[in-house]
Amino acid sequence: MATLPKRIIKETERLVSDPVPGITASPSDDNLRYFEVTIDGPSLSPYANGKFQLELYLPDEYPMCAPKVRFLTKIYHPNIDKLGRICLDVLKDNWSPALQIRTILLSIQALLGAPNPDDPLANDVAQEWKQDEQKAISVAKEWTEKYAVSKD
Amino acid sequence: MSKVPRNFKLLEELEKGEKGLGAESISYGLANQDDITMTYWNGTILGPPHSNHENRIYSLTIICDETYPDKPPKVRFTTKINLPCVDSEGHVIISNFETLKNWKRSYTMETVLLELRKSMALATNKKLPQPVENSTY
Amino acid sequence: MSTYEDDHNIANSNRQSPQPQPRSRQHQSLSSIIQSFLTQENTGVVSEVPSEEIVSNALRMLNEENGSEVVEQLLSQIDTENLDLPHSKKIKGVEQEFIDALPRVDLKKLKPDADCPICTNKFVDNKYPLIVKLPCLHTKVDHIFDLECIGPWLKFNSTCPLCRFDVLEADKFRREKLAAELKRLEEEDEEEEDDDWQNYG
Repeated sequence: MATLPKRIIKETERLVSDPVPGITASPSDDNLRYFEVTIDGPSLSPYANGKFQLELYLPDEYPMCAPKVRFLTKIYHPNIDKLGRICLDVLKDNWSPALQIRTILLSIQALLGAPNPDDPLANDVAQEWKQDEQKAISVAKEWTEKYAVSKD
Repeated sequence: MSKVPRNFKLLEELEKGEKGLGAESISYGLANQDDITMTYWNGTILGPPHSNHENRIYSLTIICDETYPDKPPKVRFTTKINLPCVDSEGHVIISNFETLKNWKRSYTMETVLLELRKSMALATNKKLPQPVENSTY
Repeated sequence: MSTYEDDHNIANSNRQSPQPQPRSRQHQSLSSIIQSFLTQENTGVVSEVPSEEIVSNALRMLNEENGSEVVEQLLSQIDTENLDLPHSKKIKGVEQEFIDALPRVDLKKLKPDADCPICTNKFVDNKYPLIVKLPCLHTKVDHIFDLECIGPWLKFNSTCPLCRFDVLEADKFRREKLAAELKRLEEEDEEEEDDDWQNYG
């Protein structure tokens, strides 16, 4: 396997030694570009108390292109689709090589605290969100309880 | 090149299929739109011209289990077809089909469908008698 | 209802065409397709379809009939090259000359712990540092990078990784300022000449 760029090694070390509160990221044993990630739902959001699992992959072109990230835990959110794909500008056209894994994960956590139904990926969810925000928030809470809160 | 993990490879394939960026003679997509594991897929092949398959549309199911893409997917025709690499229940026989037999990690579901289409057009196969159009297994 | 385009029998370039191509087009020869592709480029007609796609579609059409290994090879080549483009969107980067002309920064003038935002390594740790500064406006602190890190980024993106400032804008702005300055000088010269004439008059 090709050697890992120094930047990725440094980022990984820092993610482990100096983790961001509410976020964990650890590289997989057999692929150091592939990370298991958890993000805690922001406390003042419908996702509060939920621990969401994600997967993250650093393509060969990283940091010239964005990491690829996906939710593995089901989540009701206008910018996250049924397959866990995320609609977030910094993951697409607004990527910058000065951003890092930790800044991207923080942006995703921020997206949980500030759903944006006007720039939707999950069209049906965005529709419901716009029509009846209170109801959408209660569904998001239900899903969080059902899929993202550990039962032990 | 580093190894693209299964899920991200399948997401790439899905996007290519969704946007219709690939070849026009085949198509594929998730069987169930909210299958977060991306295991079950449907595919279609438009029969190649100048063969007994001309103007026929073949439906297939493709299973990409946990071992994909290190191991090939499991491919099965649901539309009846007479081909040497397809058994009596529609399963594509790995040992009779080069693409699955000598599977490479860089191959995709599109590769499989295009190669199957090519095998329908082979001189030895293109005039094989075919079942009634649109009959299924 | 017929549209303007229908009435005038012209293709609407904005219209997506997800339908399969008409069969007759499969018989178009590769040379004629390439020819039309080339003339289209020469006449400066802006196509919404990326040129690689036109060629790869043309090759695919040919392959429908009787696939050849060469065509296949070409196709796979185009495919991989397309995938290499970031987000396979239109390339919006800067010219190599622009990168070569970026102002250099002297390592001695930097703080010892200054690092490159892209590779995150300290500039002092680099054995042969080549450090450049981007022409970002509206910033008090210089946005500096290793040349070898910022170069590949600018080839595909004209924005500063730190502030997203479009560096081509700075170039345009500088040129405009220069042009304005030149014009002002010329006008001044003319005025002086006018004055001279008046004096003689």
